[in-house]
Amino acid sequence: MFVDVQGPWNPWIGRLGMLLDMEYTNPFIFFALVLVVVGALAVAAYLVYSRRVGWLWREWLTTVDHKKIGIMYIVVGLVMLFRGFFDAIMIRTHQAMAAGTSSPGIMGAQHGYMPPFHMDQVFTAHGTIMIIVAVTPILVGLMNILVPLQIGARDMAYPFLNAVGLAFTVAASALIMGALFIGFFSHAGWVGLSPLTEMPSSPGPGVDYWIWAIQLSSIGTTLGALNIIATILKMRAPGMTLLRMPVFSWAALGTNIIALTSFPLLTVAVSLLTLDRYIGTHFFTADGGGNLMMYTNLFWLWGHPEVYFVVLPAFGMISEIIPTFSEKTLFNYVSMVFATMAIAGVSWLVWLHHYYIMGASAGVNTFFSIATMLVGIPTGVKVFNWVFTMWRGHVRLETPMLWAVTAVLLLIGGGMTGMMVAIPAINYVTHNSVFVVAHFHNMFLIIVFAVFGGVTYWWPKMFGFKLDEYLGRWFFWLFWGGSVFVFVPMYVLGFLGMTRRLDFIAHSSWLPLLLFQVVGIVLYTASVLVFLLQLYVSIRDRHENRVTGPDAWETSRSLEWATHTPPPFYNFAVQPVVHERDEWAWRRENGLTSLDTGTCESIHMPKNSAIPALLCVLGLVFGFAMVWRIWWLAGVSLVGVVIAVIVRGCIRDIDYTVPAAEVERIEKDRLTVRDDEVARQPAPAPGDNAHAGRMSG
Amino acid sequence: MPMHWMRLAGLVLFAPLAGCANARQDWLWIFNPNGPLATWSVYYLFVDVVLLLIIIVPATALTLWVIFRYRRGGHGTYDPSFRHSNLIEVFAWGVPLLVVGALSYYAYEGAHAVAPYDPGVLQTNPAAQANKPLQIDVITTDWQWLFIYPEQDVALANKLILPVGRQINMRLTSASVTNDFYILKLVGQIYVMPGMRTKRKFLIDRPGTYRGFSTEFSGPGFSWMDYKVHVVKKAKFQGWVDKAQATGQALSYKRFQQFAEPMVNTAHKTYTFNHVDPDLFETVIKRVKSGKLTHERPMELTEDMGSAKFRKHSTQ
Repeated sequence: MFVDVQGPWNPWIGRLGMLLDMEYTNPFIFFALVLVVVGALAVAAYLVYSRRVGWLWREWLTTVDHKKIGIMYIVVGLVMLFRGFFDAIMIRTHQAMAAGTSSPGIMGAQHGYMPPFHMDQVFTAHGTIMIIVAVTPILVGLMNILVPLQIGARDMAYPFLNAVGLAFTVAASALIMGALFIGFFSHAGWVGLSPLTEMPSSPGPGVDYWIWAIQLSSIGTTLGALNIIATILKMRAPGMTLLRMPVFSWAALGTNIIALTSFPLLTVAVSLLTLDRYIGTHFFTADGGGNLMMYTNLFWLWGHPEVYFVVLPAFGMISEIIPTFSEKTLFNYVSMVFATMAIAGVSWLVWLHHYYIMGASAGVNTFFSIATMLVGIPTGVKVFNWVFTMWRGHVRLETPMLWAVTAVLLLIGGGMTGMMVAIPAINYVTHNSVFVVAHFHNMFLIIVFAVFGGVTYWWPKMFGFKLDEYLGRWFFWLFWGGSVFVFVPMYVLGFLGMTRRLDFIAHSSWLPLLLFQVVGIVLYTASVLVFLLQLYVSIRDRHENRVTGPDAWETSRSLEWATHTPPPFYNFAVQPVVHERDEWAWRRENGLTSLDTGTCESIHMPKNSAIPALLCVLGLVFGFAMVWRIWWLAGVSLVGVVIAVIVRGCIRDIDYTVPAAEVERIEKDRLTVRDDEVARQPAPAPGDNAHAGRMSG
Repeated sequence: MPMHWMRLAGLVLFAPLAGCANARQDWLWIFNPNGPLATWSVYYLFVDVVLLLIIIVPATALTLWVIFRYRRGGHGTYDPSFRHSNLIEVFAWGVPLLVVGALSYYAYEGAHAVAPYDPGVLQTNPAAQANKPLQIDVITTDWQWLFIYPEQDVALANKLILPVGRQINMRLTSASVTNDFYILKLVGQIYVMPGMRTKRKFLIDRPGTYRGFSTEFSGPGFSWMDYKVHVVKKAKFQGWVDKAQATGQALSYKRFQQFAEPMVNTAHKTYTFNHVDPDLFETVIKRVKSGKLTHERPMELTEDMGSAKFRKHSTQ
């Protein structure tokens, strides 16, 4: 139909018939399948055994509570981070095995253990997963949890929309995981190099998996961005002027303005590619009047703002952690806010630096080079302000601070290599080398370090107990060692002339450096295991690590610490009034830290909804049907999505009021728990509050 | 002459690695650029690094020192009121601004000096002015390279022979997907795109053997797209041309179509052609643009590299 496809097609099962010809002999895929199936069965069995299925549905899957949605975003992000890390292990070990013409080959490969067709999917999946469904959801999750708390709101501006955004992100992740077992994933690079992604060069369903995963997740991110911007602009507590907002919220504002304006571009670029592949248009083909560089332009016009979309929240987190652990307010706050917004602004002017070598004139390249280097100015300002925040402070190197300070040091190194590749004369010889790969991993490591710092820092706010500090340090040092061993040799390899995305490496002289990278991967693996152990130990010993007051670190400064830990579903019993930039620090200095509010008023809250979960399933089915060109199923699920949205629009009963007496009861409970710490009250049991279970449809 | 300056800087900066560079000529390309284009790229790299180090070394030292000095229980005085300073603000914005300003000048100068189409450094180069440039047309196919010497009426696949001291003017296009032309230590990169023509001008100073490869991922045969580049003296180049004119096989458009079938060059095979269709380069662009030169790739070309299906598409 429309476009002739290779292999079998029939109206009922689309292209799925091709699966009969595929050989499922690859042990890695088998291992992954076992891992996923056993994991899913174990979780399901646990839920049934402990009678928590209903609880899961009422408290989590249908929730519109921004904190729970944020936690689910982070869980999805961490799971996909784990998957992306597996891909990284395979890339590094394979390349170390496949160096030199005489290197051995096994499992159908001439060198190493992956033939190009497999290796190409692995690096494509690694890039796509890490950016689209790992780093982005974790950051969106943290913003989801923190922004309403930091600005003193009860929930997001659009709680339902928030859940829909999560639903599509989950659908995208599931689709990518599905590609591992049903058919195969794209092998055209995570940027979808055109015309390599066009039908003649990529006739299989792999690129279609990539297309629909991107489409689903970018819908999610766009909706999330809209929501956070509206929340910040319209839902701030009395007294919370823009220039009293914590820098993390400022970063969230800047970053989501970037997301709201740039993600639609990605949607358009990928949609045009979809038309090429599905109905035979010629937007990005070499023939038929297509322009393949137009795709590259559109993609990077999203792609570079996306870089700042992920890095700004990281900067925001560093800006929250460093003052807390320096026991001092953020240095030059206004300058910091201005720098954040300047980075967001300049992010729009730099996209062409991804392809200086396309043959543009020296004038064009100079413009984009200077625009790119301008980003260095506000970034430099941030580094100085962080350093002078610690200046004359009391620096405590607890784990969140270790991560944050290391992120600052990484930023200095990554900034330097960024300024190198920003210059066209240098870029002509480093473009697409692993030097560039090392540079952007260096930048992504800043985000990862900030994220682990942020997760450790806000973990008690989310769950009411601290993560184990001892294992946290082990995790940090092993992760740091892995980063050094993987990426320092990669920088050197870039200078030696190693290109990215190689399946076979012709030069055995690079082997020692490749082996260094394998050592790094071993350290990374150890760090991941220690992280899992840290989670296990911390959850096991949660009663000992229980946080008693609202403020887990005793020197926190912003408003999210001015409520219970973890916060009740309504966040604040009474609407907070903000007096100062560092509100919680101000209250601490003035002895106003008591959470006993006395009389409470009734609270207006949104009701839960099952529709986001339904949209998640329908979105996944639609994506899957489109990948395999099962038109009837795609039509049915698309109609389902439209109907679900219309039905939601017709439901009037979407909110309820928590009576004042009920709020007072919960508040009293919370305060008593604090007083009774010695008695070791169990953590709030599932279903502690009856309200979370209220459904609207 | 900036070259001396650069070598000196290089010596100081990378002294610990210099031993390696002498041991293997093919090591760190930084120490062995050949020809004005590669050399100037490296020159700008050094300028950039030196300028950045002015800000980065003190910033790193300051960060580490502050963490140490003001650690809890250290000797630093605690003063939470130190939250703003106009002086530091001027410094924090000013220093990066100055460095970026200086780098912007070099970015401008460098972009013109080594511009792929018309590099400034060749306009003043005596060797480039003295000789007539050598024209080479480059066509990439699915995973092979074809270098056509139109004036000599010969062509070479998966191998490149270049004369020393003569400006080389390249035109490049692709018969399949985008690739990226690059010869390590000799010349910077340029896209090779289907249906389009890009250009590259360069000059080489001394003979040697170098590595060329594609740097833009183009599919399963991408890793095997590396080829040897022999830079030879004028007489030797002429000798090779004479030999190729006598012995190669004819390259018509039809023969090219056959050559352009998807083929992974696992055996690193090279071919010599003569009697090259004089319009081949333009024909390829026209045919690609009209959709008459597309080779549909099989879906799972390389799942098993020992299989008959893969052998059909490889040179092993």
